[in-house]
Amino acid sequence: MSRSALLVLLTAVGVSGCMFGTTPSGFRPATAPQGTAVVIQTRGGATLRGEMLAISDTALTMAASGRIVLVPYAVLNSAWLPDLGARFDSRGPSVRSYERVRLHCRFPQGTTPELLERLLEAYDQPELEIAS
Amino acid sequence: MRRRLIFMIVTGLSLSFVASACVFRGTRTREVDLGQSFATVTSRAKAHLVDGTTVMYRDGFTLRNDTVYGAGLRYDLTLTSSTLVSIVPVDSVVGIESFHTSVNVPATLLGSALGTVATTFGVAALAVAIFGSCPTFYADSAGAPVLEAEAFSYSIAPLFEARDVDRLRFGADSDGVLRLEVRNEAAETHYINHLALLAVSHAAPEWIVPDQHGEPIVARDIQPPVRARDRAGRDVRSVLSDADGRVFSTDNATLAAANTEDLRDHIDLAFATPMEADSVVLLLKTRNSLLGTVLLYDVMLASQGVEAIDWLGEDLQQIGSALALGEWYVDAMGLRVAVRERETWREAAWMRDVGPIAWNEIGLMLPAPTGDTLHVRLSFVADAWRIDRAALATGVRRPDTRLVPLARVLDAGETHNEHALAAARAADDRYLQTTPGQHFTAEFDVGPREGPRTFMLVSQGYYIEWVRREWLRTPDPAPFTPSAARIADAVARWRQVRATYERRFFESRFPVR
Repeated sequence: MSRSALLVLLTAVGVSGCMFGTTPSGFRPATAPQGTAVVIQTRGGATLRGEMLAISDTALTMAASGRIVLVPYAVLNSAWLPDLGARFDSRGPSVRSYERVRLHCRFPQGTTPELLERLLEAYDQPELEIAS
Repeated sequence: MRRRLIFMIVTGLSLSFVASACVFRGTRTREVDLGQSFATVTSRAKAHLVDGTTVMYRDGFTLRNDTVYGAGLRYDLTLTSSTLVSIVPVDSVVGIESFHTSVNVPATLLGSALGTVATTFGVAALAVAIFGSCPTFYADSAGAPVLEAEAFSYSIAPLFEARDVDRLRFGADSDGVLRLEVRNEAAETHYINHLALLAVSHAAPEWIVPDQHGEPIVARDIQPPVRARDRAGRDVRSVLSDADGRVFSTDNATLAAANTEDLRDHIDLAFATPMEADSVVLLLKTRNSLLGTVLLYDVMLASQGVEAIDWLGEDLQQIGSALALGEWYVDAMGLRVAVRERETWREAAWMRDVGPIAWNEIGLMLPAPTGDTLHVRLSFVADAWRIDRAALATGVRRPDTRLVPLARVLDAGETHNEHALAAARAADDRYLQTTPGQHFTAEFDVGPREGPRTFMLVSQGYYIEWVRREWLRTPDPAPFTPSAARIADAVARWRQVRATYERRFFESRFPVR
């Protein structure tokens, strides 16, 4: 690289100065009652878009298109959480990101059987749908 | 901690360090410890209740013993309906998260390199980017942009969000549309909450200005001072009598003598007043010098080194810190107006700083004197102000005012931007965010002209300074503590740079085209 090209590059690097990222007012989980957004692709090829409800060691629970869906990691091709910039696959979230994902679910405490029952009733859904 | 960060900066990212000016900001989520007997959270928060419902606290809450107090919205399980709540028992809460802004220094520097591809503006500008201070508004005058106003000049953090009212010189076109180009020409991110106009119809010889609270005043019977003398003893009457571009600035000797014990300059004005006047209005055409900019950049930010990032991102989000800074600022800066009663000066008005870029016209309501002469003293930190005109109106009234909402926002490609319009049309929790080099056009439907009328721009928002690379290099950084000594530091620095600072300041603005 010539010296002038390097100079241009370095100047351009400087000019790229900016304020990246969000404040709480621009961060969806801080402004809305929903859990953080999630886009799921299953091994069967289905794509689910919705809201993270809860996460556990073996599966995540989400609300998608007005349905409550359990997605076992075993059927997961990829999960993308755009608000958090997090992505994971059938191995589930890393130990490091698990806590961050959990905090931004609608139910960070998890879904107890009683809560799940109330939730299904509220969504007028006879039983939990399980992704495959 | 600071040394480690600087070490990381110098050794690990030398390429980015050459020219970096970026800040990476994120949102940090914390779980609130509900075992505390007392806690106050001032940021947004979300409470998860045992029954599965969710409570959103936009402005935080207070935890006291076994109860959470705060204005919240409680959403049902399907999130389709919500009710207002103000009291929530702790034993019904599973957990509460609060959301805070965080700043990541290493990511900031890395981000400069990553952002290069997408950034093409202002290649020459950032090398010594010192131009700062808020959005600028331009009117079109026969194809040439004319600076009309700068908005919320010293609102350097969300808690300082301010509402400005600026008199506009230009009006609407033949279609009854008033257009303003809004620019971000500084190394800042602007958060514009609200833009609107105030329209005032009036008689031809009347002059409309906002007062120090932003309320329009109609002034008439305007006269220049009969005497005007500054602290150095100079006769400045001819300089202040007309808005002619001849501008008052502090005498060199006064500036040289300013020190921690005595930082101030003043101008004593005398006006002849009719006996029948009930109240009078002091009309000023002013702007700040760049002393305030030196104070903000060199003393408040650069002196903190890398810690300035957390100071802007964290400390100034805390009410206590912001309040302390605000009280110090009001006490030290701005322009104080006192009137002489018998042999003593009594403070009658205070005017906050208006920014160093655009001229600002304002009217300060003062009590009418008991005699036939009004004696007024303007006092301020030495050389903090530029004054083009000082006059007195002895005829005053409050006008009927019409609020004109923002009608359209056109982006740089002249395309209507509905999201931007929604963000800036009302003072709510939506903000129109701009970064350096961006501009847009704000259009207002003011209707056809049926007689003399004056428009005033209402703007509300705040801005965040980008932390410059040279600030990160500060050799002996120290926390900023508001005090008279820090103003004296700024004045000392200003004495050194004033001859060239203004030229460098305006040369370093970001081009928008």
